[in-house]
Amino acid sequence: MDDGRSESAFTWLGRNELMAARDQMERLVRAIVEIGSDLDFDMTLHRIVTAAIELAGGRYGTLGIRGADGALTSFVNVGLDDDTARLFDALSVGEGLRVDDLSALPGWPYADEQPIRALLGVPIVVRGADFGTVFVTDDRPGRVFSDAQEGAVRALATAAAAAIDNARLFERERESTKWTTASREITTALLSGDPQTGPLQLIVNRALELAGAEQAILLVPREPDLPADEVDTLVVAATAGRYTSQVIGQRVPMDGSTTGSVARSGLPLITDSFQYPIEGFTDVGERSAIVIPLVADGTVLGVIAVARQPQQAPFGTNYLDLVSDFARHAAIALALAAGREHALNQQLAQADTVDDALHAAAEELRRLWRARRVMTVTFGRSVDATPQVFSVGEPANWVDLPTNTRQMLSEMRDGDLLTASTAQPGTAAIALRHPEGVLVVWIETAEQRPFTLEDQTLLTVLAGRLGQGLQRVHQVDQQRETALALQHAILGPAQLPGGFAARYQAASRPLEVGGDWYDVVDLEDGRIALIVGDCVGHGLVAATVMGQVRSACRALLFGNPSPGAALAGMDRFAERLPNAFCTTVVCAVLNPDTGELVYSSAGHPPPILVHADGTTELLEGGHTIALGVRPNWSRPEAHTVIPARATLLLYTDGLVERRRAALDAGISRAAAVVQDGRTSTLDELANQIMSNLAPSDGYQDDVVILLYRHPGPLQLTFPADLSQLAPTRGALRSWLARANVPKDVSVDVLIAVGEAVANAIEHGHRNTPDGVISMDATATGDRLRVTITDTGEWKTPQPEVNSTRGRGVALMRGLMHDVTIDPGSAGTTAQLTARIS
Amino acid sequence: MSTPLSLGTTRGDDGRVVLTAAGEIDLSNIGVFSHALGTATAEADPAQLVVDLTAIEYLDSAAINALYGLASHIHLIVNPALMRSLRISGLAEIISIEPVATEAQ
Repeated sequence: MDDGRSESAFTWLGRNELMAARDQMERLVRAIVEIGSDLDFDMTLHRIVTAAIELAGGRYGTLGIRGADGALTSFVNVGLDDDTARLFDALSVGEGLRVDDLSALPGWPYADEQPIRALLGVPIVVRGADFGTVFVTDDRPGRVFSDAQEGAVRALATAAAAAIDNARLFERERESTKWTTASREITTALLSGDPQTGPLQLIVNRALELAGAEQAILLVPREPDLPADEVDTLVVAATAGRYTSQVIGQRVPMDGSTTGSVARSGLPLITDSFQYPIEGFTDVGERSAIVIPLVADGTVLGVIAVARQPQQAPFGTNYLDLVSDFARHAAIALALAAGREHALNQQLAQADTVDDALHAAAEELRRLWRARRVMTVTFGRSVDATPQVFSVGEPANWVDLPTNTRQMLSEMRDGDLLTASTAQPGTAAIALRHPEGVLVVWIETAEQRPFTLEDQTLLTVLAGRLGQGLQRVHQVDQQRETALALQHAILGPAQLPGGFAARYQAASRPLEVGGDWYDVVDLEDGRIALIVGDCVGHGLVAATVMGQVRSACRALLFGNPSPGAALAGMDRFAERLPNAFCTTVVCAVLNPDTGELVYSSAGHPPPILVHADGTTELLEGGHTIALGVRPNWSRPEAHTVIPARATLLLYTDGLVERRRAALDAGISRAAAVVQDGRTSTLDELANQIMSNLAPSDGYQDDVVILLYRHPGPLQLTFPADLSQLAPTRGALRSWLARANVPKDVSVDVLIAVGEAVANAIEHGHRNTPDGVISMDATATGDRLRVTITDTGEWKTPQPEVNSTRGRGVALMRGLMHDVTIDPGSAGTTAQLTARIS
Repeated sequence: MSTPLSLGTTRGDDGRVVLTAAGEIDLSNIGVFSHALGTATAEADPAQLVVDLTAIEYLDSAAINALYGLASHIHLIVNPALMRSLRISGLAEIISIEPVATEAQ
């Protein structure tokens, strides 16, 4: 607009014109608000044209958009067709153009074809670039555009520029979001391992769809896993859109091909000409194509080429960024999905418990991002429970975290799973499913470096893996617990008779139950059967078979208390029961009074017998093949007598078997531990055996031990009455004889125990005549322990006050090696120890 | 039921009174033993009293306490297995004790 016109617009205004100008101004404001109200790009352009026509009072309008070459290439028309609109490209609009009669314009060549007379053209400049021109025209004779109308359209054009800019930004953002979303989908789909669609197909499908293209192909190196510079040929491995059957399987050399150079450079490009022909892709017409590399960790995974239809607009350069991001995501996901074992996967595979897995993952994430700190925050199902925080790098616990961090973590719990959040600079967080609730992983990077899209994808992928890993570990954990519970329920009697001790230990890695069992059975003739066996295999199956074999053995022994006969019967059983084949077992029948032992072994390592003096022997008699191997196999029996205070050890091979070591060496080691521990109590000895023989990394197989020391303990319970003195003394005397305690020691023990019992009766139960006293006597290799427990208060007598009982206690202490009296609230316990020999 | 204990008193040609006990002595029958001990003491010149516990397999501090009461006057004959407790109790220091093995031992 020049100065003269604008001046006249203000000086010549009459009253009506003033009114009209005000209306015009209102219309203009309304139009500007309207065109800014929509962020859809096409809709915004359309609104601009409509508003311009209205403001100028014209009949037709168009918005011509300039292409890269400066010509108007596309049009948004109202009342016109593209052909007519295209004619306006010949007009020199400059800063603006108003023509009263186009047909009279000098040099206008279309005067005869077009009836257009009045025309108004105003340029739209967006961010300093000529975006295009909005034209308003009229074909009514005598109709011209006024200064005010031109002014209004100019004002509109300025507002339109802003609206277009916004819409374009929004459009780009939306496009970018579309690709980002697609990237996430690819990641998720690839990792979920959908068998219906291969990962390459998935990528190529999405690329086609997102680019609005007619064809997409994905080329991969003919030989996988080579560094970029060693790949020589690419092959089309997946295609989408048109020409599928022609293009699939086509080969392209790395050298001298566009796809090859993209793979080498790792940089995407837009082109309409390919150096090397690809049948079914480069020979189907001149098309705009975008070529994108798929590179992860320096390895070329492939190249994607996406082509639009020939008549479609070529790819804009802004597409390169979008598509590159997509390709990076896809490449990472592809690399991970292709089973390039990430360290995290290995860590997860080794974890035995959910906590182990969590700790390993936190360490791995910290290493990966060189993080200052990685926290894992487990939110249980109960909302009230304090979240469990585990931290590597710097220590952390929930209550000490800043309020806003706690708030943020809680919001993550309630938000979408597997969606990385980088809201706080220098941190990234992601929520995933935990077997007992939701886990939020929080990473604090060392420097405040931005967490890129690529980082986010990797974190999403790893979090997905972690979630799956935790679930798997949790399941294994639960199965193991079930099997362990089952094992414990069936592997042996809940309570052992006195004189026995047993231990069961599952293999430590992988922590798994096996088929080992033990049994102690009271037989009808007063004898006791001892059984230790080992069914082949591990896990629930072995545990179940073991339960059946154990029951069978019990039943056979009840019918005929002969170890040989029982094993012969089990042979027949094992032939019929799947998985019982090759079970090894040692079965012994003990006379607890005399120590006589009859035993038979089916392929089982020999029991170890350690005498009170340390002499060690292996019970190698009565031994033959494992169960179920040969029908009607003769099962020999051997006899021995367990001497007083000797210790018998039955065990499974897990106790003594070591890789690269002879079984005999293991058996000798076990015998040495029993020998050393022959003066320990049976429970102590059982613990010593299990811990002293355990390899540094735990038992590799499950282990059962069963210990017996002859004679079993004397366990008496009797009323607190003086009449009980003689019979309990009698019982103790005969037990001491069975324990082969020398006469003099025996007399000392009888007197000391007599004093303790008399004390318990006389003083402990002076006021409680219904009191009960229990006595427990055990023998080890070199000493005796007698424990007298009463239910009353056993005041330690003072000799000067009560010389009678004081003398008794002194006597007790004098006769015994050690006396402890523990006046507990529920009763008094006196423990007497005497040395033998 | 008290612990079985049999007691007998004989007077020798030399005027000595001998109290013989067989069985076991504990808190349940100490009364019987004490009574017999008292009677024997009353009958005999204290210096002439012999208590023969050779056939006693067991005695506890109750018996030792009873013997303490008469300590300086008597001569005690016991199963050697009991000597240890008589020594520990200090009784052996104040009366004359003669360990005599029975045939069974």
